[in-house]
Amino acid sequence: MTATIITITSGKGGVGKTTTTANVAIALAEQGDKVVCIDGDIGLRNLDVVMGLENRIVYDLVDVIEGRCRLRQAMIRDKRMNDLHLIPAAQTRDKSSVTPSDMVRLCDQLRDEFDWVLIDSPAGIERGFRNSIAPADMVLVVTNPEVSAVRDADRIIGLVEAEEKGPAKLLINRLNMDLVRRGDMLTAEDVVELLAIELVGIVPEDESVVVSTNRGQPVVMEAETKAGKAFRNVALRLKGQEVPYIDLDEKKGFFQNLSNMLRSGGD
Amino acid sequence: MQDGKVVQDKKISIKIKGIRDGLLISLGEGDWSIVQAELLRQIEERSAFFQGARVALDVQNHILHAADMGILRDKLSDCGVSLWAVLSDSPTTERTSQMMGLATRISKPKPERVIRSQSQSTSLSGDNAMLVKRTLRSGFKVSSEGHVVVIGDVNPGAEISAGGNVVIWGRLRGSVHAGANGDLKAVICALEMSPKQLRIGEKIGNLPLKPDKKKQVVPEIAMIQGGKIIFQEWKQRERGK
Amino acid sequence: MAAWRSKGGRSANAAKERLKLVLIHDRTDLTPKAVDKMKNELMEVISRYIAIDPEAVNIAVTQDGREQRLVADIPIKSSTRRKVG
Repeated sequence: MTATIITITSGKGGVGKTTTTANVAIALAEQGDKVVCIDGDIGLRNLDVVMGLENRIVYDLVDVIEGRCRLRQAMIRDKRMNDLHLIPAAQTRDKSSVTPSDMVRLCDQLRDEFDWVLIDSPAGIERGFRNSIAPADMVLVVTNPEVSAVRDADRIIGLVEAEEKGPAKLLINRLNMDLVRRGDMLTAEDVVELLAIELVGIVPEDESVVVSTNRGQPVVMEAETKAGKAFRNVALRLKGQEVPYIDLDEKKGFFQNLSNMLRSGGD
Repeated sequence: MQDGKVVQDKKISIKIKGIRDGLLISLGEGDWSIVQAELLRQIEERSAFFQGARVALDVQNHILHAADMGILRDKLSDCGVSLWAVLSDSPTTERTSQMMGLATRISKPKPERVIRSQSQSTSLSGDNAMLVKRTLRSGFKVSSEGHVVVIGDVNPGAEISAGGNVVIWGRLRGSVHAGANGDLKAVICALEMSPKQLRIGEKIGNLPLKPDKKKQVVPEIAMIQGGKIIFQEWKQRERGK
Repeated sequence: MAAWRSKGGRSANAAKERLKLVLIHDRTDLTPKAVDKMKNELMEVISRYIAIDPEAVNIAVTQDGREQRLVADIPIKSSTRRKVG
């Protein structure tokens, strides 16, 4: 078993990279796959708190790279799943603590033991981002249907190509169907047309995500939520399955009960 | 907004710094051919200075392949400059450097993370304390002219050096030097006093060889009394200084 | 979905059009000003060889997937041929 290494990045901050990493990781683990996530930020921790594992950090990525602990010691096992682990970010200000080849070496050690390595990249185009894409087999660019997010995503897609990581894949997050219907938000089709890369998921705007993050329980774990379902589909598509996109376009006035609509119309 | 590709008018940033192993030259953004040309121009301008120099180059975000790097190395060599390391944020460039036998890091004696006191003042007024709100792990070094207060543990391998007092609201298991500028009245307090090394002024504390596990852990204060460092229970009244 | 959206006046359309321009210019490093300058120079050069109607000229940078293309559509004025000899 050789792991597939996916880096989740975006360019612009706040579009949902960390939420995506956490939820896709759990969705894959729920399927029985062995998954490890790495928080690729240098200096700020995000993935641990979104996954609800913040109290269990003893060692972090820089400790592993600088040899203060073994790789296994830094891995936090998420007890909710069968085989899901997290390597947290360091809280160091030293930009040069981690180099791209450090990340490649670390991931090489993980390749034989896992099915998936998901790396949560920091925002931006600097060292943290470059480190995070260095070991990637595939790069997933997360964006929002919004001008500056799309512009930054485009820049990132170009950089990923320039760093010879091939064409990236796209996840459109926080699509708000009300705004789309009013003509005040770009559609998923618009975004795909502009960015011109392969789409792997559309995740709708969903309040459940806020609640889940508050609780440290990523939304895929909750009962049927729109976002949870969408993230689960992303995981399935990454595994090679063809999953039709959820019709987010509820016909107004016909079905009053939203959850009924999802259950009957969903995948 | 500028017209098209008028990069020629923008000043290319080239910073030169002396380091332990020679020179570190950091290159700014811009078209690689233009940046390289500017670098070589500056080197030729001061050829006597650069003759025989060992240079580490930080190319930051530039993405360089073997051809580019080979040409660069050769051109530098023509100026008498020996390129031994290429630092970069780009994974592609790092791979290229490694392939060409160049170092990709400037080695440091020990991975050290230093938190320095922002305060320039050397006076020890009672209010002048540096607050560190985190656990200090191995490799961390805190240095201050004034007092230091840590909310968190100080783990083995971490070091604190303070001109004033050191108060640790947590477990002290690392190394602490209070009164580092010679103040023998400085004290060290910790909720759990199990330091690896402890000094006040130029005095070194004598620590028990084996911590007594049966002894209940109480907050303790270390201070100089009778010419040597003693340990006492740190009760409210005896806050020292 | 397209059927519901009114063709003009909605902000999403404006966003899309703006992004199209912005992305092309980000990707090619060409500002709108530079494109205009280039167009004028091109037309000047081309007119040295053939007669063209500047009004009918269409030169634009367009997007083709992840690639960019400079597309020029320049009608040539039919000229009265000079009789030789």
